[in-house]
Amino acid sequence: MSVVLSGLLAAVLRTATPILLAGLGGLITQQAGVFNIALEGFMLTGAFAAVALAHLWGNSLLALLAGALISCVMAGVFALAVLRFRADSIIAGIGINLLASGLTTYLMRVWLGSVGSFTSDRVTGLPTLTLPVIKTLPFLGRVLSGHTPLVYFALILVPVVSFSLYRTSLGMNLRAVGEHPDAARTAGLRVNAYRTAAILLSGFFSGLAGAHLSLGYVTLFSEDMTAGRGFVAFTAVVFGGARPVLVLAASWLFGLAEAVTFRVQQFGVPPALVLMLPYLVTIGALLARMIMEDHRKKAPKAASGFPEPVADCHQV
Amino acid sequence: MERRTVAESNIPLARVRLGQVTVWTARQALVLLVAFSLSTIILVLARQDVVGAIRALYGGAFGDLWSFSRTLRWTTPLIFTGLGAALAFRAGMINVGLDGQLYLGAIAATWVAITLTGLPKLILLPLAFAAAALAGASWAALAGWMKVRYNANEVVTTLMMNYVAILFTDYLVRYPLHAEGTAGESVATVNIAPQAHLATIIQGTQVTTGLIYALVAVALVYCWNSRTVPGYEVKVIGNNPRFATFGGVSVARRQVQVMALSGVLAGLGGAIEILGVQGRFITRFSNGLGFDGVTAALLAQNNPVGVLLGALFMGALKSGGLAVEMFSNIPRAMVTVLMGIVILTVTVQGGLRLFKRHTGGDA
Repeated sequence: MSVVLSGLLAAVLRTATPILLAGLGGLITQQAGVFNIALEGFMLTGAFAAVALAHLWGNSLLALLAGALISCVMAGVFALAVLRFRADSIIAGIGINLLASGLTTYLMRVWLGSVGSFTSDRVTGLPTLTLPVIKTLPFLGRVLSGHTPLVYFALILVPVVSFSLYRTSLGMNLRAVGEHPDAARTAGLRVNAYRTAAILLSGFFSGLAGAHLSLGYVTLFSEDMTAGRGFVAFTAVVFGGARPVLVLAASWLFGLAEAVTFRVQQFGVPPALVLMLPYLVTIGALLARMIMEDHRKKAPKAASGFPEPVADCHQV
Repeated sequence: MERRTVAESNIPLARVRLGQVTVWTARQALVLLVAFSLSTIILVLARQDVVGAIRALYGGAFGDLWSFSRTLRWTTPLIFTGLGAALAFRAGMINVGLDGQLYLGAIAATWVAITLTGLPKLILLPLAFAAAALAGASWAALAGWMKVRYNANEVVTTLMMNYVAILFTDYLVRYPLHAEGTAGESVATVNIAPQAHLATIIQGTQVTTGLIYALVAVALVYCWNSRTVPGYEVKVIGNNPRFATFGGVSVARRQVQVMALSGVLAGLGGAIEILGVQGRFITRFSNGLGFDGVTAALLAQNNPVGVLLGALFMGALKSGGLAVEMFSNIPRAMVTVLMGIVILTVTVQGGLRLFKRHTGGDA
């Protein structure tokens, strides 16, 4: 029983990682006041670029970084459209997602000569890390040790992002830009510079997330392999009210749904029905969060002294 | 922050109509020009035969009667999803769940057409359409209700509901409605009753009476938008929901209704795909008709007659894309790339907004 449980928990950590990484990216843009559903497209770009470059170079870590940077380029296009040309961020996000879906399929065919999915023996997966002391612990060892570096990186990123946003002047400025752009501008902050940086950062993190999908537990790229995980990450941001710890919790919830999905399929339940689970959980989580919000608004306001992290003017 | 399009301004319609149409045409032509140029750059960078590709694209879409029929065949469902997207946009709602609604409509119509096989055409067809409309409407209205009641972002819910709906049809086709002898990628239901097939209007092609229904839908939506009270109220809601509230419009109710209508259109589009072209429900039969409809609506700036042109353009891309893949070594995915660029360029035209919405941009 404990083997099954530790296996499940380890799987949760693994499947939650892409959602957490992209979610942290989405969180930063959300805090900067940009509505970012292009996470899906950024992830897909990163996933493809990482596999293609790993095939080219034979080095998965280098490909991972380069893939994330290429995803940044996609984020740059999004930033250009939304900030420079004042495009509606939702429509532009849909455009980016389509562009990423088309470009990756197109380039896979043209450059790699594959249709549907691509893999080669030159593509090696990300290395796994064995944690020295933790590995020897009876139960936790099996849960925590032996993941790819990205899993640990994502976990470390949570307090780092939290600290940066709430304890450094750069982070405070970023939140000010998101909460009240006009006031921030009056105070001399360059609003669009902060927002551009936030979008590029979300591109980088989402690119890593995508690379974790294509190089983390499998070593292949398939058409539209992100399968809505970017939107799930976006929901994690909404669910967590753009607070890092809550986004972490949400990513674990969605990771759990996905990990359970893989396991239940083995018991002869129709796969099509089981595969719905992560999406249903996502809708349920979003709804639960919004219902809570609804009740909170109706309840008399107590003077908490802490401002809300995301201003009410952002429709989420 | 008051940026408005001509369509949003209060100038009486009759006076601006000509100018409006000219501006619209010029702007959309520019958008398409930019999008095509950017795609060309991608093709050139990938060292591909651009002239050959454009020739194949055009030939495949309009080259001969057969190609043009194929364009019309794709235009038909796109008119439905395009109208659905445009209706929702007009009310300030973003319905990107058209794919899911289309699938549910298609499976509902299929179910009627394979179960009630004893009924005559005149009863069976309306029943199939009604089932499709109901399925699409309820799925879309659910997302609309979650939006107006709990402010659950409809982009996220409708997208997630796409996956749920499509997987649900997968399940239905693989288990309760499964036809013997079909498996794998092309698992399907049994064929629909012969009298449920829509009549072909161009001999030897897949252009059916579905196209006529689509044109009727354009006319109906046009009239609803411009000649009825709910249609007018929806326009006010899309422009300024608070103003609409002060004016005594029940915003929430109208928005849910519009989502339902949007779902009805998508569902009917699915029904016409099955009854007109497919003849049975094959899993994953639709190749992104929902998002193509969104693109058509964006190009049309939500005008129903514009949707007709937008759908024709998208249909031509779909039909031509097949030819490009066949006669050159450029994959069809290039069309998706083009669509993405079109959507991006449609929204960046000088900050003109399709509808007001408090999004992240300098709100």
